[in-house]
Amino acid sequence: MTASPENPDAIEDLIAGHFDGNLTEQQEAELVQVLTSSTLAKQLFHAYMRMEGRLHSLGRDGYFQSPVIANQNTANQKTANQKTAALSDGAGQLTKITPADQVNIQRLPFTLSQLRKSSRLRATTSFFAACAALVLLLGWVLWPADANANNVLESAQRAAADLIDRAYLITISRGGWQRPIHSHQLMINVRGGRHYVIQSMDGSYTMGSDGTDYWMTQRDGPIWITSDYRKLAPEILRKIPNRHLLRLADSPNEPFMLNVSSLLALIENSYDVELARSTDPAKYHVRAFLPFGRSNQAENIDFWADAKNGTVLRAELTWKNGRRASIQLIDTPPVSERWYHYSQHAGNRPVNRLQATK
Amino acid sequence: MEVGERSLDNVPHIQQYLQFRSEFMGYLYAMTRDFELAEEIYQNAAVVVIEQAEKPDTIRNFRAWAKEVIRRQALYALRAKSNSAKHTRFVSPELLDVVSNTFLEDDATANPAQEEARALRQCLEDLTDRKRNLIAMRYENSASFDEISERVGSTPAAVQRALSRIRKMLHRCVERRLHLAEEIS
Repeated sequence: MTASPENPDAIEDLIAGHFDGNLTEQQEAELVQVLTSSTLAKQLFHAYMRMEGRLHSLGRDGYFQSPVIANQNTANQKTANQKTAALSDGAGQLTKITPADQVNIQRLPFTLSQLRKSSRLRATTSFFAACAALVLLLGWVLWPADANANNVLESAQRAAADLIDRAYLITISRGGWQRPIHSHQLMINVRGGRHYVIQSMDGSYTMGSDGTDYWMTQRDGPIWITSDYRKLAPEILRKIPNRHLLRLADSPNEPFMLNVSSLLALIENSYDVELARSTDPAKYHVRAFLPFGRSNQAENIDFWADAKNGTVLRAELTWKNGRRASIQLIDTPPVSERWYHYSQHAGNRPVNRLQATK
Repeated sequence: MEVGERSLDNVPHIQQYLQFRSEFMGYLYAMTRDFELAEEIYQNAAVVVIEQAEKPDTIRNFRAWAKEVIRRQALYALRAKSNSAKHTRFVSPELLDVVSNTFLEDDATANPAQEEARALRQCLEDLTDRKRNLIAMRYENSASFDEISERVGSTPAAVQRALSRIRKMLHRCVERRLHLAEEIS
């Protein structure tokens, strides 16, 4: 079969053969000829070259979760595993991996192949190798490759789970960021473990959770409390002026979206993520895309996380219908544990407790 | 401003270099067909990038400049390797030239490249466990066809054919997804 623009399959075979290293001299000459004469062949070669590079990068980042690790306990592959499922200690000795180690390895930001590469680098004492190691280090610390978006997400989730008070300014609008049509602003104090207080900037309502109870109050109204937030939302839906905001609380697709932990969990469960370019080396920028066919959630979520500690500094959500929300970390004085309890916001108001749904 | 269109002028060279890792590694593998050598060249070129960071004004188009650095490093490494292993058959010089020219001409912009990367990950998710394992062994463990064949109880040629088929499948899947995304938007 001769490779020609009329025969893209044959071109593809030649390109695949080249990457596999099994072309004869004659086939190589044929590939040269077709690459110099056919735009289609060049495009195909570009596409294969990019794919090859991405597969290597994904592999380097541990994206595939190597079967070498997964197969460790398979008895009938013991011999093969001894060759490949062990880490070299640099002196030619093989160190057996225990199940506990497997878990630890999977959590490390390095894969077995990277460890092997690190080992190779350690063995090289030249200046160039040292510089290269520095480059790799910079790569991990300052700018991880595409697949490391998952690492940034994981780090942000750990930071969000810490019991540290943070305050975010939330803006919810329709239309573009520059010229929003309807816009509401809220401030949220959030601590890990489902502790948060949300206050609308116009003072019309306040809602929060101390980790056990969810509560809400409107201006001059009673405090409503429940241990089941799904019960809270419909009960008070009719009682507050800008109640559409409660969609944030009662939709299963946006479970307390304003709580950064939930937002990150939503991203982890439902979105494809990739690292975008950030002009600020102190921040990672992760873009989350909703896969096809799920239109009721935000189509895109961008978040920027502190490169050192993973704290989410800003997030922007965009829905297909033009709805947008942004979350921006702001500096505020520290708040006490009691701030998240309804009693701090009750004053002399009546307290109404709602029964949780069975 | 779209992320992919954001100017990279103020981003340190080494960061820009790391962002192009996949693209550069694709080229280096096409030139060397050797994972370790490709990685070594990539690292050596990184040293050049670090050194050039002290005189950034001399670089107008970082991507084009870095490609040229990569190309030179690759040719240098291949020459060194062919001198030390005279009986090994390498890619013909004509093909190396054409591959390099093709690499230098590739001007896929950041946005399509991002979409392509996303599509590839989605396509990988759709692979069967067996196919995914083969890809993992090859690209994560850098295992040779011989090593993979030992592990899966097959022949090296069969593994090679299987991986070739999977790559074709992935390529078509990526094309399909990109086409679909274009239609939707």
